[in-house]
Amino acid sequence: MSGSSASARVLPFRGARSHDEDAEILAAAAGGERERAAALLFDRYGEHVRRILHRILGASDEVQDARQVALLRVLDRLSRVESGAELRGFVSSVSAFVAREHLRSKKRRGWLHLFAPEDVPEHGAPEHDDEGLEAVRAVYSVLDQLDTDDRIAFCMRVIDGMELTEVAAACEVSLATVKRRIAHAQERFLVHAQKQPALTTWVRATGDSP
Amino acid sequence: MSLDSLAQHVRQRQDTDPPSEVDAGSARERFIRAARLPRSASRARPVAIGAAAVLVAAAAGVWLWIGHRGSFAPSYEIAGGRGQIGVELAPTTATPIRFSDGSKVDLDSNARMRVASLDARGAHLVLESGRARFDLAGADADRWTVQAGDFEVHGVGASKFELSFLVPAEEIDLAVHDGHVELLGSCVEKRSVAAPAHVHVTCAKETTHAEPTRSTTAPSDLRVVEVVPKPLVIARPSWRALAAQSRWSEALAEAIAGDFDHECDTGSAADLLSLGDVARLAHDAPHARHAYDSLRARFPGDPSASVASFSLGKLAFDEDHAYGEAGRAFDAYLREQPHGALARDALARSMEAHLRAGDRDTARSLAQRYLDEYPGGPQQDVARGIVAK
Repeated sequence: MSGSSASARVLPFRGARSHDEDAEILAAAAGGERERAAALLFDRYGEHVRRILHRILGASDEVQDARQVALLRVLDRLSRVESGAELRGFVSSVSAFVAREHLRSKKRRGWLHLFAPEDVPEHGAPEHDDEGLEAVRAVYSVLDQLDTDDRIAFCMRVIDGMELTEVAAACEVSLATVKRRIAHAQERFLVHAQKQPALTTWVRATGDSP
Repeated sequence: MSLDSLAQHVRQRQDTDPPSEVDAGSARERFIRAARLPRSASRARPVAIGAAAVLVAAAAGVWLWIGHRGSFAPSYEIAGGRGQIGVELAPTTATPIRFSDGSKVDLDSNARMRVASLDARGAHLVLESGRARFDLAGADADRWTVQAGDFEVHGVGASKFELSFLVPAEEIDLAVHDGHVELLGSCVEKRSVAAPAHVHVTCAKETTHAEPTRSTTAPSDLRVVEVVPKPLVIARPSWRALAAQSRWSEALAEAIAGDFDHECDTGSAADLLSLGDVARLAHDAPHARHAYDSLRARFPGDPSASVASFSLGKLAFDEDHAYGEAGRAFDAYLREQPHGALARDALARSMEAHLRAGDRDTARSLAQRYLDEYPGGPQQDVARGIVAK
């Protein structure tokens, strides 16, 4: 892309996209072009949804299916979106909701594991010693101990770095509530992380704020 | 090492490790193929449904076993089936929601609620947004708690009341029709509210309620206005009530149909921030600006005025692509709230706004500041790129 201007190359932020493409997706859906709407939706938001779900769920083998569910749900509900400018927020909100469902379903499955053989290795577990990967796995092991809503807000804000206002909108709660959730999650995360050998060097004496 | 660094590490691992062996192209094809099918994917999953039914039954069995150890162990039903703890309830799930102790809860359209816990200690419901009607029955009504944001309504005895929660402004509207309840919150001491009463509470510093009849003896920074006795017959929902249901366009239309300018001239800081947010989310930038500008003009120094400045920056940036103006708005937030909750976002937005406006020196300076203050921040790569240019 050598032809890009300098300013065009530094447009990495997520909030400055044109709404034209979003409007095109809505128009395709409204016009009955479901397949075209699906293709446009995937091209525009597939990576966005993947990112949100990956940050929240962690386990990569769960992300593909969850993304499929989230995108299909968005596709089915495009008629509820009034304008292109609302689409990104709607997609984020649906993604957060699907992640919540997934986590709650996982907790229920976890309850059943009381009666299953213990310590079944997760799919995709590393076969070699990889400290970096161990740290990531430890992060999600700690996150599994948090309240689901707190975890979602924490992952979107702290892990992904989304703007607070965007997180609040995606979680469909007020700014005050989302800040409270993040602060609560962060407090608990740091407490539990201290007990994880793979994380102790990362979280020692951190003074981060939400 | 810090939490930011750890988060950056997680991001890098996840973004360089594709989520499974399926590449983006085949994932796209799979999605488009699924989109072609009629939306009845769930019908083809009788095994899954059966398994889910077994799971629910098993969970209910264990729940009942646990629940019956206490003297208070209600269950609840939705659409003829046993409700689950923690699951978000929406009006689409046939209401009213019936509890085994005879209590009922009816959700308005767009209201969202969940049963956070239901055990021997009591029932804890969380109203996430919107309006719900509660009919608490039986001798155990005093074990009921309904939480809405930072507020809690506690049952005392048999009672009927309506509670609405306006999310953006963290306001509640409580109408007690029968019996009495106790209300408390982060800025309100526990107080009894007996029927008939209609109480509107926020933690804003000033009151703008239309027809205050008398104020309570609540703390000075609390707005508690009672309108008693007034039957709760709402012919037209207020913009606040509509906003609580995330019906932004309708809420804005209602605010304009009332007197938007008057609201801007007389509303509290919290009202104006809420009004600006309603207009912004309804994509009416002029009205959003009017509300935010009024807030900044009337309440300079108030933290919500700084949030308004951030929102003005977003409007300028996202809607108008007026990057110079956006940069100034974000800078104002940073001056006023250098350690505020939105400071990192404002700094990141500001450096990009100044860069887009052609002010590379300022952008570079802001980028360096970002790296100094948030070394593991999510925009650190962007900041490094700007500094390096």
